[in-house]
Amino acid sequence: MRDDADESLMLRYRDGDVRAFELLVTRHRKPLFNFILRFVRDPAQAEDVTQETFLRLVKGADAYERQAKFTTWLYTIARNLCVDASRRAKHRKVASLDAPVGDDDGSAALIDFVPDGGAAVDRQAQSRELAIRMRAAIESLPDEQREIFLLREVADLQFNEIAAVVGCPENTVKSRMRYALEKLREALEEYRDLARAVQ
Amino acid sequence: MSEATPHTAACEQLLDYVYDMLDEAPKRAFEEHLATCPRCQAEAASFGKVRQATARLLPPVEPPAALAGALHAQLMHAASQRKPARGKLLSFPRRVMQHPAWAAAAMFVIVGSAITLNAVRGKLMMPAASAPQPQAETAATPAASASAPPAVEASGGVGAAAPEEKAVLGGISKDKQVAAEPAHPAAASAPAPEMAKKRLSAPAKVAVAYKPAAPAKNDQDDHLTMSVGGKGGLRAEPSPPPASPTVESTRAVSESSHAAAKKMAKGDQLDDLLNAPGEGGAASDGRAALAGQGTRGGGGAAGSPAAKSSAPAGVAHLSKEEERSLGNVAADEVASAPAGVVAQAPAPYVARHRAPPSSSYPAPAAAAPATAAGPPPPVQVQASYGYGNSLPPPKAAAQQQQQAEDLHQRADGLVRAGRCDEAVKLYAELDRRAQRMSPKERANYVRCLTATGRQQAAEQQLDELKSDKSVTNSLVQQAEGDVQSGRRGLDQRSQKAKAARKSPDAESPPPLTPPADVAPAAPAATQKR
Repeated sequence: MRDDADESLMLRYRDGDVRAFELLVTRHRKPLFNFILRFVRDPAQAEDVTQETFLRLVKGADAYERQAKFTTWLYTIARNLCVDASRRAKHRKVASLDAPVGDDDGSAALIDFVPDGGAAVDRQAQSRELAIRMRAAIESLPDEQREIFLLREVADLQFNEIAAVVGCPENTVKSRMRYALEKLREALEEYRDLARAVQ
Repeated sequence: MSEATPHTAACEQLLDYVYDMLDEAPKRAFEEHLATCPRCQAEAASFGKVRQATARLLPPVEPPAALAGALHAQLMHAASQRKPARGKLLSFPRRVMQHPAWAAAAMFVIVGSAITLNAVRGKLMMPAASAPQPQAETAATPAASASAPPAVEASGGVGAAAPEEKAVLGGISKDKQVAAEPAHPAAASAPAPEMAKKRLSAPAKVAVAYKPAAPAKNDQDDHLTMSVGGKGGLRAEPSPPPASPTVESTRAVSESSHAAAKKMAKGDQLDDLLNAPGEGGAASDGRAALAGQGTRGGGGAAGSPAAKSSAPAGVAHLSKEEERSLGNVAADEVASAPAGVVAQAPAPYVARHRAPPSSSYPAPAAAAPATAAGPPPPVQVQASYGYGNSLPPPKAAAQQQQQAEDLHQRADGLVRAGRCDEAVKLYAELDRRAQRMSPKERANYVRCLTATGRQQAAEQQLDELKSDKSVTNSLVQQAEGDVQSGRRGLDQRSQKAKAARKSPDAESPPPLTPPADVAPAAPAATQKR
């Protein structure tokens, strides 16, 4: 029902109802921004890309047909822009704001957070560390796996939609998703093993 | 997890199961498989934990305030500037008018219906070769006769009215008119004067129906004068008239029915009839009817479909001056619309769209001054929104298409010759005219922009290229390579410029505007700032 409403709103905007477009923007702004943020890893750039994505919707509204699912179209534009932004960012070598705290040596960072009695604080610290490691693990995924993971987990797209966005068969999407989940599982298991070893 | 467990077809559904995408029956079947497959059990459990960790450790982040604030306002403004897409209802009249045969048929239908409409109202005098004809006419126009102004009856009867009849009837041959005249004395019985009165009243009614708006005395005309840049003009409201079907069909009427209108009503004689005492009521009623019809047909402040659909009824009642002015405006608009578009567009994202004069989403401050810069006629064409969106006549459209084709070919030739400066101008013109560029052309455009140092524009065109569904990977890569080389060139040039600024005179502050002979003034200017 929600997807049908998206398409109806877009068709209404195509025919001149600007309020319909505003509703679409309000509805999709947050998940879209989150997807882009996780992709480009730069809040300022994510803001620009989000704005650009919506502007592309405006420019392409005339060509919108009901057969095309709105979210597929939206995230196709966003993904393409993210890819461009990432390439530009590589040239500029912008430091990632998600860089691990402390040294690259995981064990040294882990020692800083070894629990010494204060359970709540340590849990918080561990959670923070785990979040950092999780983000790092996602960033270390190959691009084609990372974008599929983010489209599934952050943008909440179905696999067939993801296949349309990235332009490959659904089985390929599932295969890459499986690899991504396996790599992230390994990263979490490493963290768990390290935590146990320190304790 | 046992590696020895064979991977079966059922295992392929693991992800669908983890993400809860299976229907009831397949889900049950997989759960049965899960009970017998340790590998799937382990993976399902671990993948589930990864998902939970992701949801917990990477919660959704609220977008920055700017996205919901200033940027949102800009976005909405851009969205409101977009010209609405043509619906199926509105595209049909356009398609009809583009086809010459259909356009001719449509004009014939419109003219015929206009004439028929007036005939039904008793405005037209059919040729009366025999006595029964006037009776038939009388029967057909009881309402018209009922409201016959008494002044006509008092004007001297049949003989005096005959010249007006001739003028009004126009196309009726002299023979028929002569035949008609004797019929009046022949029908000298009691019905004859009544019939004569009714026939005489018909021209007056015709005059009422075709009476143009009081020239240059009406407030609406003043508005129209302002909007069209000439005398007369469409009796449209200052707010944006509706879209093209009204104006197009009106223009069709203007081109073909103008001659007929001339014959039907000569202005002086009509004015005399209207200004005759006792006729003011009818005239004003007619004027009011025309105003209502014209407004309905030409108005519709919001350009709603209801207003647009009522256009054909309103068209039939436009005066000849209004129709003529529409024809003139059409010619002017064809000549000046592209310039008007350029004058209007303040930002790249609205470059191809013609902004309506009013919008519920006001422009950000930076975009507002652009409208004052253009030459008056194009801007005024823009302000009369209905004209700005109308299609030119088919001949002019073919001409424009031919010009666009020439531009395409010339641009390609210039690119092949390596004359990027000129090619960029032609591509920009194509872009401005909203002409579709093939992926190859756009890639050439990107190359020429980078070659001429317009890096930002090149990147924008690269984005356009990527959003084109028909583009090939090789073209994208080629264009990206051009952009990157352009970027490197820019970086090198900026580094050289920095080096050049640092080297010559280390004691004086870096002048904002070289050259050296004005260097003493530069620091003062800097300090003032």
